[in-house]
Amino acid sequence: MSSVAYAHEAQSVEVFTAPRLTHFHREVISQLFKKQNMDQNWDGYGSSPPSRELIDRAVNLTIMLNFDETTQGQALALEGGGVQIECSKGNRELHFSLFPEGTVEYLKLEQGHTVDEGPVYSTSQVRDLELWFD
Amino acid sequence: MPDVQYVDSPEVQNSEILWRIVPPNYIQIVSDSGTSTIRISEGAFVTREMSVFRASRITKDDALRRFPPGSIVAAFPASLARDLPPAGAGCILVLDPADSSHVLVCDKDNPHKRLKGSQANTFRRGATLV
Repeated sequence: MSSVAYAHEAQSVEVFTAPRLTHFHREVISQLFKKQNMDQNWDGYGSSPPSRELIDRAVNLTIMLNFDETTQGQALALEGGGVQIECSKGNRELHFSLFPEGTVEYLKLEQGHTVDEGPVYSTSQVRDLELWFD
Repeated sequence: MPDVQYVDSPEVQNSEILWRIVPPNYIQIVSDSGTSTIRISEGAFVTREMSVFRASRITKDDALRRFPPGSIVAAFPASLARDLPPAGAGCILVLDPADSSHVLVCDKDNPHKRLKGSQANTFRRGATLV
C-alpha cells in the first residue's frame, strides 16, 4: 500500500492510502484525463465531453480498485457526458459506468456474455465485484 | 424529437436492418496471434433513446456524414431490439415523424430511460460491423 497525494486545481490536496498503482491504474487514469479535452459533439450525437467533476470521480474509483499487473484497462467517454472504465482479465470483464447525474453502474461479462449488472452504492460492493473479477 | 409518441412503430418490420453509427471512441483493434480484429465496446449503445438509421431508407455515406471520421456502422435486425431478453434487448422502435430513415430504440417499459448495460451488450453481441 502507498500513500498518494492527489492534487488538483481546487485549493486542496487529498491524501489517502491507496493500493499500489499498476499499469492498469496508470493507463485508465491517463485516458480519463484526456477525456476532458474532447470536443463538443465528439460523437456526432451532440455529446459534451465528461465534466472535470465526473472525471475526478472516475479517477477516485479507479485508484480504489485493487487490481494487479495482469489486469488490462481502458476508459471511454459515453454519449451524454458519462465515462466508462473497462477492466479485463482472462475471460472476464468488469465495466463501471459513471453518469453526470451521479449514478454509477457495473456490468459483469464472461466471455462477452452478460453475467450481472446493477448500481454501485458502496465500497464493500466494489470489493465484492473485485473478488468476482479476480 | 418534438411531437413524438413513444410507441412501437409497426412500420419498422422485424426483418429490417438498423444501423447504429459507432464513433472511434468505442472502437478497439485487438491483436491476437498476428490477427487483428475490430471490437466495439457496449458503451456505444449505452444511451437514452438510441438513435439508429433504417438501412433500407438511407445510404451508408449519408448515414455517416455527420459523424466523426473513422466512425463505423453496427448493423442489427429490428427483431434484436424488440425481442425480450435474453434473445433481445426488450425495446420498442419509435419512428421519427420528421425523418422516415431515423428511428429511436427505447426501453419498452420506460422509453426515456437510459438503456442498461445488458441491453447494450445484447446489441454489441448481435451487431455486424459494416
